[in-house]
Parts: sequence; structure tokens; C-alpha cells
Amino acid sequence: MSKVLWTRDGRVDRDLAASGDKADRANITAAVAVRNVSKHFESKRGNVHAVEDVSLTIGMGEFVSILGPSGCGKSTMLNMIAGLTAPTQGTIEVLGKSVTGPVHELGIVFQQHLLLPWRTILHNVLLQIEVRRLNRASYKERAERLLDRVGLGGFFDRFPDELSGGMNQRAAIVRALIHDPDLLLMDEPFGALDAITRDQMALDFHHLSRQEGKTVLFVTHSISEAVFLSNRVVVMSTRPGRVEEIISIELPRERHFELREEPQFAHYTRHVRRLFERMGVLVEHRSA
Amino acid sequence: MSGPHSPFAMISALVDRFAVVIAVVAVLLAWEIAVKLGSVPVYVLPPPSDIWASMIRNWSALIAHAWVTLLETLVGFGLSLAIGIPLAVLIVYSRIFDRVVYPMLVASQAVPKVVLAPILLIGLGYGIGPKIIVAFLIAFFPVVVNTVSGLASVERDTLNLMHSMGASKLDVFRKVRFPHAVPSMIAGFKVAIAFAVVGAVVGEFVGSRSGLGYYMLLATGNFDTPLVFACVVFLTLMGVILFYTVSLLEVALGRWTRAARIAQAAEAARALGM
Repeated sequence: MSKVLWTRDGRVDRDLAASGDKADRANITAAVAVRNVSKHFESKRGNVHAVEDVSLTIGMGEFVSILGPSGCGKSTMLNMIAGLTAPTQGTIEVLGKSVTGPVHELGIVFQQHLLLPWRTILHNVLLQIEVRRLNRASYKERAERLLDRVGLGGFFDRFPDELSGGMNQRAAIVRALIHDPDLLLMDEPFGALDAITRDQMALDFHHLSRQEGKTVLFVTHSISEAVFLSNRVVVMSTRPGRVEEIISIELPRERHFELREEPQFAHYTRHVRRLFERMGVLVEHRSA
Repeated sequence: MSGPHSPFAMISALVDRFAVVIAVVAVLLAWEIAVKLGSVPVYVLPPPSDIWASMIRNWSALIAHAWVTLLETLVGFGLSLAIGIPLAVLIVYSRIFDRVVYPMLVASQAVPKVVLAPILLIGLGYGIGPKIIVAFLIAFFPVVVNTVSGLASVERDTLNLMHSMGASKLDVFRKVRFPHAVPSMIAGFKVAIAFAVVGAVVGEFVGSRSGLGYYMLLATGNFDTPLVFACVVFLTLMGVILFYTVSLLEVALGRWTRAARIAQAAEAARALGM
């Protein structure tokens, strides 16, 4: 695994130890520590190597994206960190505890909102509270405040099929936040939305996660979304999924739409695009 | 002029709304006229007016026999729920039931259950028992299959989400699997109740002293074809009423999925149209 530090002027600083250690030392407790993790599946076509020897540390308060093409094992990575599937090799620690089963100290958002169609928006959010045997009454206010904040103020008593995909996904994000977890796992959360809604959701989520002070692991296949949101981007190769490069995004901490048109933003997206070209994931057409 | 309020438009709207009623009346009329003009013997095909007359004449006997059939049907259907739903839960939650019992159950469907009626008769006699069991055997399968598919079709990620919340198996069942399965279960119940009527009547055909199936055989023996048809009308009405009663359950249980609600709305519109 090679760690790459991108400086503001676009130079690449390929210093393996230096950048890695700096990140680790800055965060005394790692939110997530993945060590030499591999995942192999048995399938009809034989043994599939979904993830191969991945190591990754996410510090408290960091926003890290795992970026890669479909089938690169990025969702598998997220599921292993959540303790929903066990790695074949390697160890994972979340919030200082070794992962041996489903991790409860986090919130997850999937690509589908997965709201229960027979529950109202508010009751879908409170499902998290009911299952955790927390006091419903004391969380109701927080649920309403969070729903208000994501623009679902007047929709507490509506059912998921009455709202748009974006609105439902906002409710799903609130459901992941309601119990105030330290860590948020996002598995292509905006992947099912149209491009414009997606941009808005990304910006809104950026501010929400900062205000709530969450550590976020964000799985995506959108280069610009990953660069826009993250402190670091973990680029994964096609199967078997390995960490191709970890890129520190040295952009202003608070992100705005205009950033996307800035040259330094383009530096990062260009760098990732070239990585994907080198891997053969993206193929350029050039006239001879 | 044919605006929305012109007489033509209004008639066409009425025709549209009462299309089914008009069609049924037309068929009955055509039947009546064809039988009368063609001088078809009454014992071959009675005209609707004769069937109606027979129904009025034998009203109390028909009602008495219908009660017996209804009881057999409802008990058979009730048993299919009481046994089918817990069995479906076991199939979904237990590996052994899934791998051993479920395939056996599916394979057992190759046995035409109505042919079991004579065997049951030997063991249980002419009473209500064999009819209930045949009704149960036929109604049971759609209940199990639909409950299993409803309980098992919860999305993988929904279960993952529940596990990340620390949900117990009971939580997952009560809060996700069961409510998720309800529309599919009710679809199974609708098939089951219709099958249960068939089971009860076939059981009566094989050997009994009461019930609409028995009364029908009696009428056939006497060449009282209008009465046979009257029995058919009663059985049809019973089937329709039971089917809609189960459908009401769906409405009462309220809103589950968009699909279920749209289906309900369409059904309600059709019912009003009739």
C-alpha cells in the first residue's frame, strides 16, 4: 500500500512512512483500523477474491471515502467494518474494539433508503430508538429537530411512498444519526438519486456531518463526490480489490459548490481519473 | 355537440360504469331466449327464470345446506391458517424445515388432494370431518407458500440495518418480516378461501348427508336440473362473499405498500361500479 500526499500546487509527495504516520499520530484513537484484511467468497464460478490485503486507518472526525468501480469490493469493505460479514483474513477494530459481529455503535445508510413502507417518516427514524431499547419520548424531539434540519419539517406523518427518493434518503440519514453514533457508514448513499439532487444532498450531508461531529466512511463510485466530501480518498482497484492509493485532499475544510470549478479541485479529480486509466477502468478515446 | 354533459356522453359514462351489470343481464336474457326458442329440455339446460323459481321454492333447504358447507369451509380455512402460518415461520427460521419439510411439502402438491377424500371417508365416516380435512389440505398450501415468500423476501440490506441496530430475531420478525409479509399472506388467504370451498364441496360429493355438494347430487339424481343450478348459484355467491371478506381484511389492515393500496383502490372502484 502506498500513501500519497497531494500538496496544494498539485505535486505528489510519495512518502510512504511520513504521511501515514502523521495521520495516525494526529488521532490518538482511530475510529476504524483495518489491518491486512482480505475477503474471499465461494461462488459458482469458483473462489472470488473480493478484497485483497487492505489496510486502512480512519481517525476520529475524519471524512474518508472509498472510491472504486463496481465490483471492487468497496461495499464488502464497508460491510466488514460494520461487522455484517467476517473477513477471511486480517483484523478490524472499530472505536477501539475488535470487530467480531455486527457493530452497534454506528449508523449506516445504504444506497436504498430502506424505510419501512408501513411506518411514517418519524416512526421510521424512531425504529432505531425502539430496537435499541432507548427512551422513545426523549428522542422524539431530537428526531423532529434533525428532520427539520434536513428539510423534512412538515413531513413527519407522511409515508415513504408519498415522498421523493431524495427526501426518503434524507430520512434514512436522520435514522442513522438519531442515536448520536460516533461513526457513520455510508454505502453509496446518493447513488440512486438524480444528479442535481445528488449534488445538493452531498453538500447538505457535508455540513450536517461536520455540525454533528461525525467520523464518516463514505463508499462511492463518483470521483467528484469523493473529492468534494473527503479529507482522504481511498482509491481501490478492480477485483481483487486492493488499495491503489490513499489521497489526502488538501482543500479548505468547509466545502462549497464553487470548489468544484476550482483548479485545485480539478487537480485531484484528474489525478484519480488518471489512476483509473492506468488501471484500465477508464479508457480514453484519442483520434490517431 | 358531445361535451361532457351531453346526453350521449352521460349514457356512455353510465354504460362504462355499469358495463359488468349490463353484460350479465344481456347474457341471462340471451340464455333465457335461446333456451325458450330452441325448446331445450329443462333437465338439460333450464332457463334462468326456472333456476330463480327453484331457488325461491327450496330457499330454506338451500340455506340449511349452505350453512353446513360454510362451516366446513371456514373450519378448513381456519385450520390452514392455524397450521400453515406457524409452519411457514418454522420454514423461514429453521434450516431443517427449509431443507427437508418445505421440499416435501412442495412435492406433496403433486398429489391431487381431492382423491384423498374417499380415503378420509373410510377413516372418518360421513360426518363433517373429512370435508374439513379436504378443505384444509387444499387451502393449506397457498397459505404456507405465500407466507414463506413474504417472510423471506425482506431485502438483505434491511436485515443488515436491523442487525447494526442490535435487533434480536424477535425484533426482526415483529418489526420487519411479519409486516412485510402481510400483503403476500393476504394474497395467499384469498386463494386459500376459494380453494377451501372447492375442498368442502368435493368432500361432500364423495359421501355425506348434508351440505350443498350433497344437495346438488340429490338434485342431479332426481333430474332436478334447476335445483342443481340453484346450488351452483349459492356456491358461487358463497365463494364471492368469502373472497371479499378476506379482501376486507386487507383494507382493514390498512396501508402496507403502494402496490397493495393501488390494488385496493382499483378493487373498490370495480366494486362500486357493480
